Amino acid sequence: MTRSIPTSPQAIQERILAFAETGMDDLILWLCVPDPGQFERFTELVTKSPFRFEKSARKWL
Amino acid sequence: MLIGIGLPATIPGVKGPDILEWDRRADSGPFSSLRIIDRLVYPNFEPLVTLAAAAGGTRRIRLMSTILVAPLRNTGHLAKQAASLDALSGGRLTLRPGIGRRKDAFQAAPARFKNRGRLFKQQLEWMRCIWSGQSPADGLGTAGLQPIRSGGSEVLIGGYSPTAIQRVDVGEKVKPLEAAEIQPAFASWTALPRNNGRRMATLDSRASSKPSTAPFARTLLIRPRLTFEITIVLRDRRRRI
Repeated sequence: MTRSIPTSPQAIQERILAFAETGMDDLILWLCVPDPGQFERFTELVTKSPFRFEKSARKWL
Repeated sequence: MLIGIGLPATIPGVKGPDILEWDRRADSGPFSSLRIIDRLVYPNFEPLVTLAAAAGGTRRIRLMSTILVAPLRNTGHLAKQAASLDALSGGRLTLRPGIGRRKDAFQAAPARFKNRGRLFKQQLEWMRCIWSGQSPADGLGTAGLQPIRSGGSEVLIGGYSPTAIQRVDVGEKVKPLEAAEIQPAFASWTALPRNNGRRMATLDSRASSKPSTAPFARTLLIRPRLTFEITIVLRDRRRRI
């Protein structure tokens, strides 16, 4: 299980894109390390990624 | 595609203020939802309490339980807690109840492990009844709050099996019903997209072959929401994590 965890920005981005291509509606990411630095790097990765994401939480209401 | 982020509430050693800070950052970031895991025999934070704290510190982000083990809980209280959390958060709660599979949790609750699937189905009926403002039993008053939206908060039910898919039918006996809010969802830890394609196909075929006994069932199963979870670590080359 540990080996399957993506650890580089590229690997994470590829994984997210792969899920997006399958038609996934909703992808949940769990950061293993509760460190603010992890959070910031991940936020940056998501924000700068080429895939489109929807931020609006109100979409489902 | 919506991207949600998990709360670190199950990571041993995490402090309460760390979680509240996480909430705040997620709310101001590009994420659509905050998720939390439910465990009983484990040193984690209780999901509904933690999401209630998150509701107070956030404005936008959806609050989701990522499988809340319903049969461990008293149904009336669970319905009321969920309704309260939904009201406190301005309708941002998505409840994802499940039956649970850890025997130790049922021993610790205590609750009956056997027949928990049947109990779960009854719980969904009961909660829907309460959330829709009806009396859950003859001679009783209503137990719910005025919901933010008709029928109560959004409910996702996870699973691939025919039994799990059938559980979305529980609202048949409860009128009026906003059953379109109940959708099957996927949940898995580290499964890869290549495995997921087969599972989605399985669910789609089951959904389309299912007898359409109720209008909401047709609506629901034509387009199940597809949800997946992955675990990540972002390696920092400057230091060990």
